[in-house]
Amino acid sequence: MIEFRPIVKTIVAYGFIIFVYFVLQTALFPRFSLAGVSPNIMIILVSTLGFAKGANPGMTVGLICGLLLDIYASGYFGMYAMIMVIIGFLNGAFRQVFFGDDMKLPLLLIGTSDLLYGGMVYIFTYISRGRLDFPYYFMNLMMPEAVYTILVSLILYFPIIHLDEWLAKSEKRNQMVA
Amino acid sequence: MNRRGKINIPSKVLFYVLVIMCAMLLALNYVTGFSGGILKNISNYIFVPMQKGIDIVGESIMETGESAKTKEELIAENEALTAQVETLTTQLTNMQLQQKELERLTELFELKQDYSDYDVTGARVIARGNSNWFSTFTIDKGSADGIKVDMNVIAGSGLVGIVTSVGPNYSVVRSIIDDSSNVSGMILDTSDNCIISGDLMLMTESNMISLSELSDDDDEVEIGTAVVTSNISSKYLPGILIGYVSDLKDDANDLTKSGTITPVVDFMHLQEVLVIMETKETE
Repeated sequence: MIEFRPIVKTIVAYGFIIFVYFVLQTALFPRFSLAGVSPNIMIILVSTLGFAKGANPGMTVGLICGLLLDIYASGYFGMYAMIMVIIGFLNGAFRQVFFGDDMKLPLLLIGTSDLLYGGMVYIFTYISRGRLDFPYYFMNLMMPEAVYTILVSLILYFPIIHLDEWLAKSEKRNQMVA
Repeated sequence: MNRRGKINIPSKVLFYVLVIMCAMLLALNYVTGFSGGILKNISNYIFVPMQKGIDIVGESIMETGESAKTKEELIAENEALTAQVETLTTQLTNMQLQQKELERLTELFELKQDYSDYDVTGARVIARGNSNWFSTFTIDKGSADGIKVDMNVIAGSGLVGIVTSVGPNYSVVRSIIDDSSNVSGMILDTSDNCIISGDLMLMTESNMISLSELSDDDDEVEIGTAVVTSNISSKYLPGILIGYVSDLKDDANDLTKSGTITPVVDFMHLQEVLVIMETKETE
């Protein structure tokens, strides 16, 4: 039998964290941009969910985050959604080797995901318009963004992980009561 | 996940389903120009109020960080500013008189300054930076305030960009420094047409945007000349200042010139913009 309460709780919790992170990305962090770039908060969320919780939650949240980015972008509608789904899926493959107490792997994965995201945006939207100097964009946009994202993820990584634990705990408690 | 009997979808299957879904969205966007539909309305009521709030908070954080002033300093500044207000008010009155005179004279000359006649509405920039690759931002006015796609956005005296998508209470603006932006421009002095395109590389290196396809056979265009939007542009209203030519050189084909222009708008610190409430009518 499917219980609805934990499902609703999960949806609310995930919706809330997507909301907060999206507002952070679009309204707060652009004010504190370094070297002309602001961090990619959505990548932190999608990537972390991918390797901590599995490919399916990663992809689902990735789709929602991507669609949000698409709504507030002026390019091809659906592009960010696709990129985020791919990133959620790829990060899901690392769930087997992820242990919560080690920060090296999460930071590495978040950084790599951000570079991958940059690479895909470049391929989808820049190459076709004849902007072929990839090394330039790599050094001046993708790398600084990845570094800044990793720095920010030192803080923003924990709410995602603890949300997970909190949900798991409250589900267990409910099961014990029931 | 399946310990409570939930159906467990293999992630590969879900992956293909979602990617195909996104591909369909992209195709739909390509064919019909679909850009969110109902999703826009949902996001409108969830995000816009919060972004407005955060924007104000962020602004105050920046302000307190920048200028933590003592009471004495504030009093001194207040006095100085009051004095300044008085001088400015006098100046303003003079200016208004001159403006009246100018209007009267232009009327006499039957010159009509289109530029100042545009009906504009002010809007606040509430969000930006959903990607470092593009330069778009969100403003707090939308279709409820009469904003439509393709309306031009200006700030101060210069062109900022164009509205690319509209929700009930917000609009997305693509600025002219965006890498995919192309504006048909015109050299003010010589009326030569050219293309003004945003270039991320130029923007990061030197805060400039690129100018190309300028046919200037007599070498009349000089550094420092103003560039405005052209009257042959399909989406931009004519005569809006874009920037000043800062560099110009012959192209390899020896027929046209290209170079860079410095935009008049400070895109880094954009807070308020004006939306021109009319779109250019094209056949």
